[in-house]
Amino acid sequence: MTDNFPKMNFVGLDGILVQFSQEICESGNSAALAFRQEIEKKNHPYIIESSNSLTAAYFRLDIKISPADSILNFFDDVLKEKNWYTSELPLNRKLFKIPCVFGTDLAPQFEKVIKLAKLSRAQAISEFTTTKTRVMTIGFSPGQPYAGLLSEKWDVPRLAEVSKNVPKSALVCAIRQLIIFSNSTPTGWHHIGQTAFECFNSNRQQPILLNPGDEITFLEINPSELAQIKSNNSDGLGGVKISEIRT
Amino acid sequence: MLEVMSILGFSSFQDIGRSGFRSLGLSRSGAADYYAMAEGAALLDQSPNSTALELIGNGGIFNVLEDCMVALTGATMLASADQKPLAWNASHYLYKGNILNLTTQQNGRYSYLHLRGGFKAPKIFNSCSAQPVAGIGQYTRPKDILAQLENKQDPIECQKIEPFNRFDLTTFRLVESFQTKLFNQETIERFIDTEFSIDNQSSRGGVKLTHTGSGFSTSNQLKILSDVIVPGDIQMTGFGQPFVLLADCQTMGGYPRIGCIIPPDLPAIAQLKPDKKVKFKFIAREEANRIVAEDTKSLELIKRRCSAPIRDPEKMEDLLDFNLIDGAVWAKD
Repeated sequence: MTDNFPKMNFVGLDGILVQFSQEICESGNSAALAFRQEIEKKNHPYIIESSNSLTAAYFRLDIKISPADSILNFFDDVLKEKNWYTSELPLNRKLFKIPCVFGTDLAPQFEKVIKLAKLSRAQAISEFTTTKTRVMTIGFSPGQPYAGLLSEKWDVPRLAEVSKNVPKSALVCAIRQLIIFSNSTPTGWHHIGQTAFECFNSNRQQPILLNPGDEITFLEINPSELAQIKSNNSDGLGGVKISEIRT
Repeated sequence: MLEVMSILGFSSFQDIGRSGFRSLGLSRSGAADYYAMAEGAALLDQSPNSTALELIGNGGIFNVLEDCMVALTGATMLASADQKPLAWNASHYLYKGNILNLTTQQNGRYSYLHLRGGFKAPKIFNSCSAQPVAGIGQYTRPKDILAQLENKQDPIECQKIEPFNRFDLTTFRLVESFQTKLFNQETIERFIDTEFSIDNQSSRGGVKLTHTGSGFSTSNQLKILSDVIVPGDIQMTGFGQPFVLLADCQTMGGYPRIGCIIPPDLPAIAQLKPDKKVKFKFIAREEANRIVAEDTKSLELIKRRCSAPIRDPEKMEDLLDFNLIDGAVWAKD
């Protein structure tokens, strides 16, 4: 990895971010996931909670104990334990195959984005239905996955202007990543597909199904098939097929 | 127990928020004004994590279904029970059949109705804080029954409280955060020199700021990796428009954050009404830690802010309706 990583930084007054890469990459993601898991195992009394972002691990500390040097040293010692970039992904990972309408008036930015990516419709859809993208992190809103990486052609920037609300369960993309929105939200990401998969549904026994390390791929459907799925979707599964990933 | 007769759209149950679920994408949530939560808890002699009703704008009207004790904190409202005025920043006994009217916020955006024993609300991911835009809980609606969680029988006296001073802050203190360095020195200086206005497009997720002049951005702003967001962060959207992120803010995002408001100043900026003017200044971490320690200590000593209410008999319409001695009338007659 680059000279300066991994590195530690403050997040606000009570948080520490251990960053493994500046660029999005799968090794940086694996490192961040494994490092957070290892720290959690050690049960440090100053740490109130933790989470992962794409290539970093975040730790929120007890604000009454101002981040003393001792905890920075503790993170530093754990960082030195091994080469985190070659870490294995978490165990018990699952593959989610999610039915999705690409383009049409349900996902109006599809045509523009494939033009930016210099792909035909068939090429683009083939990528979405054959590539398995890794859930790199869950965040923004409940259960919402950031998945990647798509090939470099998909390195399209976010929009400068935040769009009007994009519906719940929308598939959006930018900078080689995909997100399925947990809730209707304004966004700078490009709306390229529409699913009926609810990342968070409190009617389910397990409101949140996706975990970092899981994989997502898509099954192309047409708008009337989506309407069919939506007509019987109180569990918010949206026709997803979930299978174990054998490693 | 109260029945909601009318209420404004975005009022909801809040406690101090949820901790431990940000890895699943759940926001911290919780009351926008933690001082108000602590004040209500002190007045009613209960946990600061007791669920309260957070009211915005024009508040609501409630039918009191059984005798109870309430406290009113946060942004001052005109409050009355059966049209007799109730003091703000104070606790009161209400009796079955009273109509409680809370209206016209004066000095802020978030007001709190606390119930002795706490409100009973669904606990989702270990907190009763509603965040309807994220699919967690509901906004309070007319006809809702607001029940009591714990039945507290021991009578306590009505009190008033000297509120924490947070309604007239104009300069907010920031610490540097991990993305501050993405902004060049010139941009940071211009940010500190700029006077901002509170926009009316604000919610429990964040407060939008407006200013004259160009926006504040980093190079390559639209391709920065999404990373951790925490309440207090000042985020620059695509055109460099600042947003102060509050309790319901998302857990992750891609727009860069120039700095993070220290926790004791966060209720103050949440409370500011549209068009108020604000400025920011960076302080060192050591100073911020010292301010937080003082704040923690003053919250521990909050009971000292409570005292017996001073009542002006001139203003009382019917002296006999007031419980002038103590809580004894509260015990079931």
